[in-house]
Amino acid sequence: MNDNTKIGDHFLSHLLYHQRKYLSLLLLIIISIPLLLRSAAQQPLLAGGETYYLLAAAQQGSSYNPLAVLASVIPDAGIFLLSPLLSLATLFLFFHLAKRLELSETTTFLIALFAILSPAFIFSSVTLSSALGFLFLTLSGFSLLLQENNTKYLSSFPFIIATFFDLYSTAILLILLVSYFIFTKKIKGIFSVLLLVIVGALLVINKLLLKLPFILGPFHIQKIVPDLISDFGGVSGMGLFAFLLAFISIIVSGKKKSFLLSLPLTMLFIAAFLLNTNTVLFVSIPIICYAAAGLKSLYEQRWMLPSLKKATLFLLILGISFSAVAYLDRLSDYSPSATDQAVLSEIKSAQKNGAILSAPENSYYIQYFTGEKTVFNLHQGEYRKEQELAQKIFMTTYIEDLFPLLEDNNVSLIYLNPEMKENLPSDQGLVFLLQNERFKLLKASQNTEVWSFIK
Amino acid sequence: MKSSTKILTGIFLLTLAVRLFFAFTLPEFTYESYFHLRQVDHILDTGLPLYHDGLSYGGRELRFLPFFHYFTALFALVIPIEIAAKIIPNLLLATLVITSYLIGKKITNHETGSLLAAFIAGFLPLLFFTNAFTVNALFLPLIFLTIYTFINLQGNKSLKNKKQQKYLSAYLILLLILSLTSPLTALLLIGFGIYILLSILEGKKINRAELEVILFSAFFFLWVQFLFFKQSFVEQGLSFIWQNVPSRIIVQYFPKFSVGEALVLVSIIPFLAGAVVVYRSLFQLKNKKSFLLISLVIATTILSWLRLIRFKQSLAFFSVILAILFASFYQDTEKYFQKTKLSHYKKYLLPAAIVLLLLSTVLPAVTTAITQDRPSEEEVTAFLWLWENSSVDATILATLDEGHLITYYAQRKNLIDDRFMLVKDAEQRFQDLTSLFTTRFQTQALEIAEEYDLEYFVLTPAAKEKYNLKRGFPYTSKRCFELVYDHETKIYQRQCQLEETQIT
Repeated sequence: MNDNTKIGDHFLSHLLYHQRKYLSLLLLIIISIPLLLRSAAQQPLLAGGETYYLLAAAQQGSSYNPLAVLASVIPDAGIFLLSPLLSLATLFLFFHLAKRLELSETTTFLIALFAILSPAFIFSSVTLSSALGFLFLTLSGFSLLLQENNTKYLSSFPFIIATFFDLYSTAILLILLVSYFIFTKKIKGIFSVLLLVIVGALLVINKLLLKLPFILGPFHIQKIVPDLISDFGGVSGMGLFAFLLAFISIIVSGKKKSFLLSLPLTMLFIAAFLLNTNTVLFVSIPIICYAAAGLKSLYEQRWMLPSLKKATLFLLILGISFSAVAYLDRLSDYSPSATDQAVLSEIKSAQKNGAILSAPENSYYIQYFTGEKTVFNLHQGEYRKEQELAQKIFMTTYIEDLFPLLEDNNVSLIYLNPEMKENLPSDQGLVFLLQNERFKLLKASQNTEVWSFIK
Repeated sequence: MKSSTKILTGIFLLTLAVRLFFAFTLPEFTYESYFHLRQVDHILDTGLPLYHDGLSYGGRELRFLPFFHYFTALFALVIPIEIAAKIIPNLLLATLVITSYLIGKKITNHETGSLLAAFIAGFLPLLFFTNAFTVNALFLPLIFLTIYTFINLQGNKSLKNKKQQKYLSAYLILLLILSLTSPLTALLLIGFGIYILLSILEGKKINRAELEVILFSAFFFLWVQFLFFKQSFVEQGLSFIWQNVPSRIIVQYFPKFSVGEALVLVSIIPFLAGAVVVYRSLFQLKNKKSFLLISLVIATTILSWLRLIRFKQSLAFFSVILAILFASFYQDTEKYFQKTKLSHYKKYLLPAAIVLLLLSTVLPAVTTAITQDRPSEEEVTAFLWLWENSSVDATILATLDEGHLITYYAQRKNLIDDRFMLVKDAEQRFQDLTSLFTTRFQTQALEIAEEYDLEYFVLTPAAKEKYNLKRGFPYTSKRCFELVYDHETKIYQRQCQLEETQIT
């Protein structure tokens, strides 16, 4: 028994000491799995609405989003490496900051481990994600700001770049900077004031001149619970076990100072998430920290039943890992597929004037592959109206109702992929009404169809 | 042998004898049972549960917890499955008598009260479906045995004495089995949550070891469910709770909580006695011994009220707790008699209780057993005829309840049955099933039949009653539907198919 304990302790010490190597390796493996699976299925390596929104913006040169700007200068074949590199760099920056902030090895390890295993971070690591870009720039900024020498002035560059994503993240940056300067009692320093003024001014300029959105997205139909807990079928989010662990941690450490200090920012993240689930990476940060604190407290507490303690901790790690594995399995199936890419590339030449109608979440890759407009653009502020319009168009019973809707929205092509065909009823609604003579089947390939609408 | 042990053995044997009498006197099983029988059959043949069912819904994926089926399959190795399926559930449910007595004794230390509780648990009308071969038969005895072991963990802080170590081991084994038996185990865990909450509210210090056991139980249960139902979680999200039941019949499965119906199904005496005990324990006596049971009552009530759990399943669980709480009620009543001028009537208390219980539980229990919803022998013969006379890949129409009869007896594909989980078009299929039993138009019937490739249409007397069909399907003309089986149950074979015609 004693020998076992010694072996266990030795293993843990070794793991904590070499955590940077092991966790980086784990991250690399986790990122590689969906990329390899997609590559094996000859699917486009990148998935996700935001990815294609940014890629389309990069093509058109129409966005100030730092990721879109970066994507416009990187060769197409190398773009898929951008997010994995960003996430790896973010992990290293976190390790660096954790050391500077004197976080314990165990806490650092658990936060990094839960982050790597969280679907929100995995999704951001294999797609183009403004939230991850912002996180990387903010951590870079703070890493430089914590330097004692003149290097700290360089922090203004990542902070300035970080303001070009959206107004919400800029506001968070401002709050973080103000909090940092207050806690370190540097609020009256010239550099601090200057930095705050610059970021504050950029917030106003970005709103008034560049017309940046308050929160970028959403890029899919939002569902609060699944978008938060990935095990319920969301696009990303947190694993159920990590979420429960965080919940327990909140109950146990509800009166601790560190928890109370984190509460305002957590509430802000939750409020933003309720408005727009594309901010899930932000809300997952406090959840990951609480879950790590929860597991640490369970581990450090003396249990009356030590064997039960081991079993509980094992179950938790297993549960969190299973959520990640189940998510990785799903991630490789996300649109676009190889057929989507092939069919849409053909449309590119066929499309004349008008917009393409498809499920709202397909719009972004359709825009990227065809270079044409789509009926739905969920991120453009009128989210509810777009959702209602989608419901009306796809579920309408009579052609007398459908045709005016299609004409009003200037629809020229209809793109149906297998997922849409599976989810939409075949005996009523749009799929049923396609039998009308005003629709003509242009292309059908592997359960994917392109119809033209004759005006 | 102590006299109480003799009486308890007597109650157990009486319960078992009555249950087995009805089980073997009444032919066949309840409709739902055939699904489980088929699973046991499959386990006996292949060693694995049927997670890809080629017959149900014409072929679909299935997910369920398989312990009950493996458990029965063990017995079915020795005795024929039809016999095992009648003996095992009744034997298991009869053991509730013993568990209820043990829990009642633990919380009241009152012999007579506990024996009366055991008697009520043995003859609860809601559990007197003697021909039901369902997971509930294992789940209910197991969960109450788990509760008993947990109650025995309370008290000693460190759980270090040998007896408690044994209870802890038993608890963990039972939890493992329960987690592999029914997702309804969640009731126990939610009950634990309410137990912690109540204890905090009442200023009762919770034993640390108890908390550790509860925490482990919660994560273990979740983990097991996650392993089995991962796909359902992903595909249905939180709707997983409602098991994809079509919206038109969801009210049948998750009805509004009705006190009136609960009174009838649980039986009036234990229900009222339970309500009194819960009220007194919570608001007057602050009785800590029955906190866990009361927490379970609250958990069940809240979940049923919020329609998060099937009404009849929750009521089955609820009724056993109320039966156990009767021990406490009887003890309190006896004390009350002693304290008041009515003390000389105390000797009449037990006979009065026995008479009242006989009238309020045994009679309704017998009625429940006699009126169980199950197919008649003639109906079963019709499905067996289909097995002998239809092509192997034929799809057959029957009512929702009879779906499992098609897959079990006829061994053919059905249009629909009551296992809705993971079926994407369950709503549509249910709508089409209703149309096929209610439409007057042959073209509509043929269109639907063609869509699902339905070849045989079965019309049992039960179906006629359900859909109020006095003669038969209104659309079955001789040209298009040949009557191939003509008894009380009628079977039609489809001969026509719709063709597109050009209107000139």
